[in-house]
Amino acid sequence: MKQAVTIGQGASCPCVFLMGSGGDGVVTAGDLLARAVANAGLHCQMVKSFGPQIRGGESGVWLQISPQPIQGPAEQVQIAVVLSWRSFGPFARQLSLAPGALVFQDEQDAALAPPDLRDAGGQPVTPRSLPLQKLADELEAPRSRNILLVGFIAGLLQLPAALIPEVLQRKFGKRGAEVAATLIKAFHRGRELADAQARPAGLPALAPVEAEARLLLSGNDAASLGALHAGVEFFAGYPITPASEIMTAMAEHLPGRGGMMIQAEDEISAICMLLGASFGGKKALTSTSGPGLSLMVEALGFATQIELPCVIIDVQRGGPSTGMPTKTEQSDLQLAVYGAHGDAPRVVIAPENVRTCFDATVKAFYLAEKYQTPVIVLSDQQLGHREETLPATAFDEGHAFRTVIARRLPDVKPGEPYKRFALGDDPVSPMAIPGMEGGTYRTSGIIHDEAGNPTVSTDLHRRMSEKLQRKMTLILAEMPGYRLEGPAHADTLLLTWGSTAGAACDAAARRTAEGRPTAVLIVELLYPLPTEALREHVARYRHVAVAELTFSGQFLRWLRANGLALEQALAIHRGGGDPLTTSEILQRMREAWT
Amino acid sequence: MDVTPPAEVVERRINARQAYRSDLKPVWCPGCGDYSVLTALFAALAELQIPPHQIALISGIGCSSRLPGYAATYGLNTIHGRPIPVATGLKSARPDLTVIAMAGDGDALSIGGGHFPHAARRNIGMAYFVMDNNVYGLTKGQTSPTTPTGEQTATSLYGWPEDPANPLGLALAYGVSFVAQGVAGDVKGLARLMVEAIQWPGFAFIEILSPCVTWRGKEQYDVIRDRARPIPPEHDVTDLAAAFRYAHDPEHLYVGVHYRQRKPTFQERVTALQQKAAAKGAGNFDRYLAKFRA
Repeated sequence: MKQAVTIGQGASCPCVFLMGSGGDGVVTAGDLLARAVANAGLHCQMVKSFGPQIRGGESGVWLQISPQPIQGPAEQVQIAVVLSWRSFGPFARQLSLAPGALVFQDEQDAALAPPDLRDAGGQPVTPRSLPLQKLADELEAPRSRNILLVGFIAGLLQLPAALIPEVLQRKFGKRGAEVAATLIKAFHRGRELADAQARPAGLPALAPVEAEARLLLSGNDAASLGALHAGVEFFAGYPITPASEIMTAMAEHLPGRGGMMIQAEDEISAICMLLGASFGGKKALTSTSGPGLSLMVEALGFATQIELPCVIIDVQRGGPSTGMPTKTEQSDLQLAVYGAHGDAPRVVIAPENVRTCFDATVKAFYLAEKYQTPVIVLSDQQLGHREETLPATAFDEGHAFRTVIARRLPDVKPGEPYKRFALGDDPVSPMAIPGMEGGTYRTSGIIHDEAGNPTVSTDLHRRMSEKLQRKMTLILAEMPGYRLEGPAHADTLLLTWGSTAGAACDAAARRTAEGRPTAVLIVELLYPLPTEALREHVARYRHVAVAELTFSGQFLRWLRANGLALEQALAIHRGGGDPLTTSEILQRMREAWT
Repeated sequence: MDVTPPAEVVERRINARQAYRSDLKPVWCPGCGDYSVLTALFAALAELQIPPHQIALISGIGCSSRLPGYAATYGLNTIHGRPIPVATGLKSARPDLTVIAMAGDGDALSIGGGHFPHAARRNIGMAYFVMDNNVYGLTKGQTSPTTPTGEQTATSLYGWPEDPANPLGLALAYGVSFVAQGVAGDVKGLARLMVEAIQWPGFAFIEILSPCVTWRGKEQYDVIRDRARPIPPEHDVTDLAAAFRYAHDPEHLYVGVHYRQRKPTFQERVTALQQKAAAKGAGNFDRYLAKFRA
């Protein structure tokens, strides 16, 4: 008998959790569902989580689905399917079941279900059994359990039935018509299973919104696309989680356009190779994570000193040291803005979602070339690995930052002196590249004169330091470096950056809906920090909160170091490796300002 | 037997070498072996007639790494230990250039020693000149990875308790495709080796014994002169085992080409894979974007 259930408290977007052990194919199931959702014109955000095992470990997929674009991370799960209770352990803490959530299991695994499963409200939850393996065996496709699962979820959410067979055909068609036909059959058997269940109430209708083409990609994918758009010619890097996907993409795409990816012997070598290529006039990129950025800081200061453009994408992970490679944190901020001895300005820029990983990367190349400076893009594991639906036009003209520039070359003539580091009104002095006759210059990390020759002149040290710093002033004059979102009459301001922006925006919207109008200021340019603009904004609000995912409040301290008072600011930060949630931020604001 | 060339030939040669000299006056101590290395380099470049603007000299940190500043080419005096990766990035991005990496014994075998085997594996088409004086000169006389055991230095007041590295032995073990040893005292011989190294299609390493009169004394010249022997003409430069024996000879420092074996360069291999990738249509933005269509 069908039994009506109500799950979630006005959940605007259902969240589905699929979990299994290695080989169960839950990631493939999540991917298929995400594609179907995308083709239905809906939005989704998919977060994958893996155990520390390289192969055969447990894996889980969180899938948020909504008619509206999704900003914040998933909080509570309305529908969970566990294919292997034996491997469920690592997810038990991460999984927060909404009150009334439905949990399903394969009937063959039922004996292993934990006896004390409870939802977020503390109510016991009894898993419901589905004959998944049995049906798969009947289809003589014992490994099609995940496709049955896709059918089941699609049925439960009442996603248009026609969408998935098309995706299945595309994905598995090359394995033969028979394979695809069996899988499509499995999909339909899964849907039939769902028909026997009551559709949970409280979920919004997920009817197709519009037949608009959509993309499904991760932040690392978007950053790789951005790099290609910006004209990257050279990549050197060292494998590191969670940044390696960018390196892989460069290995695939650079050689075809006459460039190359070099797998360096370490990150020191990687950034030094970048500087060599950049000295040679090429647009050079590396991607890394905290431990790699730590190794790069000496060369970073060298790049600043000899004014060489280069782009470093740091996909941050939990620190310190090896930390938590597959978890997220924003705790490389301090290293990114301060790392390197001496006064070594650099640009630090942060994307706030998957889409802006593209923009930030294109902008990084733009700023690097225009101002002859190293640029760090601070992404993180959450942005880098989660997949989102985006309109197919997301990276088109008018929708994304797409400005691409070439290096500014000097007008040199053989026999005439050339001053590589000319001190003039413009702190950016045109750069000759090897091969240009009349442009030869020698330089070094030593303080140099205008020609590039070493000097011990204290006066030149001061003037060259000013030259480097003035470039930062020009950058601030060119772009705001932040984004303000929320009602004009807001009396509360939530300051944040990077991947915390999504949850902050959701929290602000809910706070506004509660009658406490709240705006969000998302800082994109972390170095040089748009201090003056921030100060003016901060002064306008009665309440100010600063939200970030660091244990020690690195962002708050960076704002203070730049002269923003913020003594009364509500500091929302913690460690833990999982993103700050909307509820967490909301709860802290409610407690602080009743 | 060398025959003294006519005066106008000598003058032409001197002028050709002058084209490579920058306006900067070297800050090396009088008697430093690096002066001879610089002279030999100018002679080699002049003989090869490579235009200065097609050359990039990439060094690390140390006395010898000041060298790029004295040449009218493109040049980078980079950070300690990193001339190889910087030069690797430059040469692979710009195979049209003549790239010469240079380092001291500290750069090459201590702080930057980890890059050496990888440059050998890649067989990057560049020359690598290591000016080895067995001491840290710029920081005033501390031991280096090639300081002989037992020596007293600023950091080994009671005698150095470690074994010195054998640069030639390491290069051979790493699979460097061109391995030679030169001495700063023999400018002509060194220039000949440099010509060969710069022209070599692959990674060409010259261990240059370049005395430091300030911290090792004038007698370092005598020690090298007494121990130096030309590599016998009958030595087969493709015989790795023989090359190892010369490199590890307990008595003599063999000068000349120890080992030379052609193998595919990084550039040759990269060009091949670039063609393969291009044939597959990889690298096209629109095609890559299409991959993400749901």
